[in-house]
Amino acid sequence: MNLLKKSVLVALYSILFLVTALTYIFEMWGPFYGSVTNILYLSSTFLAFASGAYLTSTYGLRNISGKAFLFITLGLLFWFIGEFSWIYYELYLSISPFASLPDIFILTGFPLIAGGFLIYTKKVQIKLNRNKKIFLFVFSSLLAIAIIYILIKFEVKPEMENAEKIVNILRAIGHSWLLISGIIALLIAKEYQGGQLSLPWKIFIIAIIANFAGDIIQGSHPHLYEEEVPLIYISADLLWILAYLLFSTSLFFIAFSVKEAQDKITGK
Amino acid sequence: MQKKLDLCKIYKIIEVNLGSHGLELYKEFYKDKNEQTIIASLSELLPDLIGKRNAKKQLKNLK
Repeated sequence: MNLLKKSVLVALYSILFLVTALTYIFEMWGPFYGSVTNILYLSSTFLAFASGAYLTSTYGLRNISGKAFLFITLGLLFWFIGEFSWIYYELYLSISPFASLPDIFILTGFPLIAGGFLIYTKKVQIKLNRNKKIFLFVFSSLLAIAIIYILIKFEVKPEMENAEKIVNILRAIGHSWLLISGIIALLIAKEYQGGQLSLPWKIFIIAIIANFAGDIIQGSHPHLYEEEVPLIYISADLLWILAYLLFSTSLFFIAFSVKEAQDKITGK
Repeated sequence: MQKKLDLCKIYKIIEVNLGSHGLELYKEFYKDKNEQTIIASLSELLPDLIGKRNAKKQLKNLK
């Protein structure tokens, strides 16, 4: 039953992604551009948040797992509000959303999601020897510095306004946290090796990388993105949609597995 | 006292892995059973969810 649910979910999300990709390509040169793609984009964002809420309710809030997923869900909610308000600014207010309130919502999502990953490590009880701890600390620090450096180099340009520069610097810091969360996810997946919860944590890693790649594309060409130059616009948006759907897949997979385990208690 | 402490630890492991609802189900379904029976049940259930290594680690302190 659990496998069936997961297979159906993957099939539905694959269809959704394919339809979204084709809609982007067709709409780019069509008369209804901007309407359907925005709905599809927001749908994937909402699905990520909804799956987080479903998983949090599955665990409940009295335990560390539920608390960790509550943080991740709140982060995804802030991303949804950020994306929604970004589209609202762009389409209905005709104001350039970069850099403005939507960015604040999106930036708020980073520490919440990274915090959720960090809280979850308490549950897993990852035990590392001294050498591994030092290696991970050094590696994570170097990774954070490298990401911040690369993103600032690509995304912070002299011609930008100060607000745009600040947003991109904060986003670089946010991404460094998120990619370190990816390392945490890798450790958790390894710890759960052989169990049903290993795969969702591996999927989290791909989601984080896809989100990062989308940001690099958009952040390095913010004005081309706003002008909706097809190659930049479609590739950045599709990478973000992929990231949201993968986040959602991971969270639903965990929820399905926990639900199945709950059913086994009573022998259902 | 020792018995009560062990049960608290068991409940904590159940709740963190199977959620608050999972704990309620355990309490209801295993209310007449002793701790060893609950641990034996968890030893069967948890490896499928979190892998043998992590399940063993979490249950190690209970036995």
